[in-house]
Formats: sequence, C-alpha cells, structure tokens
Amino acid sequence: MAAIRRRDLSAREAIDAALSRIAVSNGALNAFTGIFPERARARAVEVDAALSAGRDPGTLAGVPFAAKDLFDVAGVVTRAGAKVTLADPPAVRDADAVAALEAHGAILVGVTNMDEFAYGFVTENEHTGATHNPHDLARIAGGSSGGSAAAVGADLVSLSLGSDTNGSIRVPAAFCGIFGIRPTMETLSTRGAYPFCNSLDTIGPFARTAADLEVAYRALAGDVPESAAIAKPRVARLGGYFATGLRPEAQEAVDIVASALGAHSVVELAGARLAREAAFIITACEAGELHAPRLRTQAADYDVATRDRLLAGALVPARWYIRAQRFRSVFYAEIQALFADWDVLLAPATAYHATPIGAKTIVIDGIESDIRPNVGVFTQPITLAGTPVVTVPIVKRDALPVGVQLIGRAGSEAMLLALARELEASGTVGAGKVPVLV
Amino acid sequence: MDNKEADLATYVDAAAAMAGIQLDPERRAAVITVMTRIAAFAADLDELTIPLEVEVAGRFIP
Repeated sequence: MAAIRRRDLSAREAIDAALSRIAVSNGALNAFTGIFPERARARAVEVDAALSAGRDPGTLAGVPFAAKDLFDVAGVVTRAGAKVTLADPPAVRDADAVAALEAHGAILVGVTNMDEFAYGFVTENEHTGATHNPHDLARIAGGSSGGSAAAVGADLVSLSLGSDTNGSIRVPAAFCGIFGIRPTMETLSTRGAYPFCNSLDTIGPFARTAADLEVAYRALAGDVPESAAIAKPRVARLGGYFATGLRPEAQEAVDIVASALGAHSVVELAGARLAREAAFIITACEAGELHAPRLRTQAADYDVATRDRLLAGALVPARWYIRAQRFRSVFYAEIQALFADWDVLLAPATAYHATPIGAKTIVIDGIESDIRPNVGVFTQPITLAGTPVVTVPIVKRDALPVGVQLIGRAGSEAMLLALARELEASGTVGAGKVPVLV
Repeated sequence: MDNKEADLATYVDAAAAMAGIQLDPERRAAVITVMTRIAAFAADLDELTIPLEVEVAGRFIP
C-alpha cells in the first residue's frame, strides 16, 4: 500500500493495473457488477498531482478499492443486488464510507455483487448471478458481501467495503481466505448504505493482510487509539453452541488459533441459540417492514431467495419482534459478563468451508441441513450483542479457506486488529498466495 | 396440517390482507413455511423469563 506514497508506483499505474486485473478475471469471478474507469483514473490524476506537489494524499494514497453495490456512488443507481431498484434515481453523493476511504487517498474502481438487499450468505443472485470463490470457481464466495470478498481474495483490488448485519462480512471473508472486520454497532457511519435491518446493520472493510485492514479501518473510523493493544490478552474459546455441528476444517481452524494464543479455557454463551433466533426475527421483521411498500406491487420482481422471507417478515406480529429486541439486552449482559474475565473470545466463522454453487444442503455428523439459512449460524448470535469481530483466515495448501472470529468487547477494535496482526506475523493466519483462478 | 399450522396459515392470510399484500398459492405456501420457522423461534424466546425492567433495545449502542 505504501508504494504509491513512496512514489515507487504512480496512482495512475496502480489503477490501470487494477482495471486490467478486473478485465481479465471478472468474467470468471463475477465479483464486480459495475466498474468506473473514468472516475478512478480522474481520481488517480489528483492523487499523483498531490504527490508531485509534495502533499500527502493520505494513508491509502492511490490504493484501488471496491464497494459492495449497496453503497451510494454519486451519479450511479444504488442497485443493492435487486431488480426493483433499477429505476431508482442515481445517488447524489458518495456514501460516507466511500468518501472516508477516498479522503485518505483510496480510489474507488467499482461496485460488487451481493445477495439481493444483503439478505443471504451465498451471493447467488437471481438477477446478477453467482459470485465465484477465487480458491475454487465452482464454489460460493459467501455472502452477502461476496463480490467484495472475492475481489480482494483474488487480489483484483487491495481493499473493499462490505456490510455485516448477520455475518455478511465475516462469512465471505472466511470463505475467500481474507481478513474482515465487523465493528462495534454505531462505530462506522452507515449513511449512504442501502439499509437492510437498521438495528443490526454495520459496515466494514476487507483486506488481504491484517495491516491493510487496520489502515482501512482507521481511515473509516477516524481517531482510534494507537495504544489499545493489550500485552497479553486473555483469550478463551467459545464452547457449547459454537463447538457443535462443525466440520473438521472449521474445528481445526479454531484449534490452530487457540493453540497459538494459548487459549486453553472454554467458556459458554448459554444464550447463543436464542440470540441467533432473535436476530433472525429482528432481521426478517425490519427488512420486511422496509420492503412492504414494494412487496405490495412488485413482489414478483424480487429474487425468489429473498422474497418469501421479506414477505413473512412484513407479517410478523409486533410482540415477537419486541420480545426479540428485549432479549438483546439480556444477551448483551451475558457476553459482557464473559468480558469481565476475557478480552477475546474465539469462535468459528462458519461451520464449513465454501460449498458448491447451487448446493442446497450439507451433511454434518450425519445430519442434513439447509445451507442458505444456516451458513451464518456462528456469526448471527454475535450480531445481537453488537460487539466487534475480526475474522482471520486460515489458508492451507490444497485446502479451501476457513475463518475464525476474534470477538471483543464493545470498542475493542484496535486490540482485535493488533491481535490479528500478531497472528499473521507468526504465520498462524493469513491470506497466503493469490489463488490461481481455476 | 395440525391446528397450530392451520392457525398460522389463517394468521398469514389475515395479516397479508391487512397489509395489502397479495399472496398467490405458491408464494403463500412459502411464506407460511418461513413464518412457521419464525414462530418456532418466537416460541423459544417466549419460554425465557425476561425481567420486566428489561426494555426494548431500540437503537442499540453497546
């Protein structure tokens, strides 16, 4: 990332190279749904001019990035992976997150594929097609920010933006073998990001290295204390709910990280199952309410994978929703109690590695379960607590990537990012080599 | 279809009519399937005793 600031490479060269990589590989990946070469090249000229004049364009000078196609881009219709939005007016200004990265010198090159309205974990979209996993093109990239994760996983861009309501950054980061962060609720501005479920929505970056993730996070968050790292954080792994129904690769990933961190204690979040169920209800209800006006007249134009859940959500009795929201406070108290004794909790990001595109079910321990609603089974409970999570990748040779969640107390992003850096420096986690697309 | 499922189907029909949402037979069946799942989750949450003083989280800032 520093090459442009050092003037080893011009921003224009970096952008042209990124656009060339996208032109070569996007046909196989279907990561990008929109590319903005003119905007990107114009911005690159500005960055190069600033550097020539001796000004510092920022920590992300000339770094190409992508944004999930739910972030507003001035002059472009924010599609959010849908058909019903195609006739919407173009955005009048960039989303806050896009503007924040560009204020630090980064350059937006395009927008990326996603599950319709972010309601899914697979990025198999009826309107825009499936995004393919850069580690195995026959498999899903995860979702709902699948295009953003695949674009970084394949090194088409160095950074990307996603959103995470129930795991939509953490799941695709794990499947694509990269780093991602879901920040503490309300930490990063969601203004200009198409809403999904307002009381659970967050946005955050993806990167191939922990250091790049931290630079991007700091650009988005503004002032983050530099000295937040804890010399020796107290780390425990979550058992019970989070140790049940995993395939071996997911279990082994947690074992690897736990071993590296000396995390020998196992603790329980007794309310995890109910937390997931409450998040499911809240999501359906808020998203259903949001889409009810369009569902009255345009239901047939929704992705079938999304439509029926939105329709059901629009009909949920208020009492169920309110009770789920009340439980949220109960669950937050429970996880806070754990943070009295521990700084970081470990959990698998997913129960398995990326599944084949089009697969409907998976068998674990002899039990067949649906993939679409269950990919986020380990991310969704943490969503309810609103605390930050950094997903770190385990990428082994000849194996598909998996991810581990580093879960911290509210406001502990700097500590989690520092821990991710340490794990990467020790070789415990990391994106590894850029995969050859096959 | 047992009584509970029938009640849920009746509820979905009534709520959809109140919301001005039309459900063709295929879509109605799919929505009832989703609503059945949500109802099961709601029933789980109902079994928990939540103290009266615990308010709705609302706009949640941990």
